[in-house]
Order: sequence, then C-alpha cells, then structure tokens
Amino acid sequence: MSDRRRVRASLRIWVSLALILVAAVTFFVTRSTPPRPVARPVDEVYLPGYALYSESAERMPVQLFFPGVDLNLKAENREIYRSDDAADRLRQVVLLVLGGPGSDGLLTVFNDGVRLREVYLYEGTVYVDLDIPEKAASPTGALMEHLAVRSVEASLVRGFPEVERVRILRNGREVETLFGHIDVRRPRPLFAGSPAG
Amino acid sequence: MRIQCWSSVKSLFQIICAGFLMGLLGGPAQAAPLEETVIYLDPGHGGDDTGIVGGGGLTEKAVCLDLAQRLKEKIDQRLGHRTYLTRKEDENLSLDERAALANNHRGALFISIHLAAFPDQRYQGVGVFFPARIPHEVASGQEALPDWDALQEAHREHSEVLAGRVHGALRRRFPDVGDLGMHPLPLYPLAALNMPAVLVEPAVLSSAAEEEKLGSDAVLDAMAEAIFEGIDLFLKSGVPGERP
Repeated sequence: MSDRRRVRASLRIWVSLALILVAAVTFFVTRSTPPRPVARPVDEVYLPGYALYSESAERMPVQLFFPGVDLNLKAENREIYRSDDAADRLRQVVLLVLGGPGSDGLLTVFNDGVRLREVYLYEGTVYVDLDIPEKAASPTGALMEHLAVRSVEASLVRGFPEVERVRILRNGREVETLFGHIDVRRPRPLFAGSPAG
Repeated sequence: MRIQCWSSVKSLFQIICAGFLMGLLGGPAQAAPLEETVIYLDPGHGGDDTGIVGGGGLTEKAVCLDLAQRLKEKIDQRLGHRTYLTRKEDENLSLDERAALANNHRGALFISIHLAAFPDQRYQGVGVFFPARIPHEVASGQEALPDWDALQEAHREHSEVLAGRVHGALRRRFPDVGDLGMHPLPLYPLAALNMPAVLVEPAVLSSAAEEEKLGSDAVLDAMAEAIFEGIDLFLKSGVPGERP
C-alpha cells in the first residue's frame, strides 16, 4: 500500500471517529437538556386582543417568578413597557406569566388555552380575571396548580409596592379553585412556605 | 304531690316515645358512634371532570376510583373500621359535597386520592400534601367569628403527621421513583374538614413511564397497600407526644 493510500485510509478512520463522537455528544446533550421554553406571544394570551402599549414607549425591568426544575419559584428578569397606569403595568406582567418563561431551567405554569380577560387594581388588591376553557379545567395536579397561582401572586406582589394581595377569578366569577385543588377564594398576602417560597 | 309525680312520669314517657320515633325515622341512628373510627376516601374528579388525561388515554378519575376501592377493601378486611368512598362510581360530585359527607358522618380521617401532572417528562414519583394555614383577615370593628372553613385548623398537626406516615410508606414501597415531597398547600376543600386530612398523589400521570405502570394491577395494589400502611401506622401511633 502506498503512503498516500495509507494516509487516506487513516484520514477516513479519523473522520468516521469524529463523526461518531459528534453524534454521540449531540445525542447525550439533547437528551439531558430539556427543550428551551418558548414564551407565547401576547396576542395568544390576551383575550381582548387590543394593543396595551405603544411599541415606542420606554421599557422598564420587572421580575417574574416561575418554578425552577426543583419546583421552587425562581426570579426571571424581563421587561415591560413603562406606563403611568399601574393596572396597565400589572396587566403586562400577568400576560408575560401566562406566556411562560424565556429562560432555560424554568417551567411554564399555565397550559395553552388559558388567557387573560382583564386585570383590575382596587385598594391594594389586584383582581386577575383568567379565561379558562372548560376543556382545560383539570390539566394539572395540586402542586403545579399551586405553583401557577403562586407565580401570578409573586410576580405581582414582589415587584409592585402598591399591590398588597391578589385575587384570581375564573371566567369573570369568583371561584373556589382554578383547576380543582388549590383554594383561591381569598386575596392572599404573599407568605413564605415551601415549595413555592 | 300526686299530680306532680304523674306529670313527671308523663314527660318521661313522652321523651321515650320521641326517642323511639326518631330512631324509627333513622335520623340520629345514621350517625356513627363517637368512638367508632370512620375513614373517608375521596377519589378525585369524576363524571364530566376527567382530571388529567395521560398520553395513552388513561384518566385520573378512573385511576383514583380504582385505587380508592382497593384501599377500602384493605381497610375493611384488615382494620375493621367503617370506610366510605365519597363517590362509588364515575359521577359528578362537588368539592363541597365531598367535605360535607365526611363531616356529617363524623369522619376521623379523610384521604383524597389524585394524580400529578407536570409540563415535562422528568417528573415522576410520589407527592403528599396537607392543608396549609389559611390567613383569615377580619374586617376592623367586627367580631372575629371563626370561618366555617377554618375547621381544619384544629387538626393541622394531625394532618401533617398523617401526611408524613403516608408519604413515608409510599417512599419505602417505591424507593426508585422520584420524590415530589410532602408540602403544606392551601387545598380546597380540605380546609373545611373537621378531621385530619391529606391529599395523596402517588404517581405522575403526565409521565409516559408512570402511565404505563398505572395500567398494572400489581402497581395499583402496591400503591393502595402503601397508603394503607401509612393510615395504619397513623392510627396505631398517632401524633408524637400524644396518647394514640
């Protein structure tokens, strides 16, 4: 066998080995890394559908809270459009929570189909009226339902001093639970407690 | 004197007759004697409310009913306590009705059986929850009457111990699956229960692997057995520091 042939054969072996290595690494990386969350756009989660802000408005930072992989709430830094109207700022925050996290390692808490009807602020209490179709009535267990409620509450209470408590409504009505497990009858001040903190 | 005596005898006779009639009508006779242990098992969801539906089509309401029936059989056979299911078939039953049934029958324990779901497949395993303390705000100037649904407050410690016993038993029986922990949650309608109460989620139905296991009789029976062990241990040992 000539030197050139030997070099070619050895090159083929090395290239094959490299390709196998790349395939193996890709397989293990994609298997162990959960898919990156994709936040849903506002028009998918806001029922009235009209524009909430001018795209030219100044933006301001907010902290949203989503469960991490350990199921404790974690902060995610996001931005909303600045507005003099507090309810407008809070509305944008709820829409971002419904849309889901934009960072790795955080979980989406509301299923597709859950949308915001409206947000009201009245004497320190934020009323969040969610549109939850009957079909999506029980998509979750007790722990995820709790984390969904806490995500909304924490994102509103922790970032806005004018908010003392949060009351979540379903389809325009006061309800006992959103999905059949967690008590949402009273506006609740944020309290420390695992697993949602 | 004779008239007074005759009047007392007449009153006594009236009381005995009234008691006899009430017995015939079945009112108070339906209530369990105070010393009897009545256990209420609550299969979650039912009827139009399927609960979680697994990727393979298994429904939470069906698994919960199956588990509750298995558990009832074990308690009936081995502990001899009176055990009731809040629903015996695939029917609609409101959360309030479930709580009222258990309270009206003077339940001593309430075990609500559900399954969990998570947005990704990595979550599997056992979670057990007990009622968290619910903050009750009282408007200024009003007398602080306890809310009806603050009944659970008197039993919170027992509920936590019961949750620990059931969680421990499930973990011992299924050591290889994940542990979703034991947490206080503001559970409805457990806050309105006048007895120790827990909500058990022995598996995650959104996990394809766990859904497959839930189709197995042996696994369902092992889950029921573990919950039984937790209840049995709680009834035998009670709350640490208290007389069982």
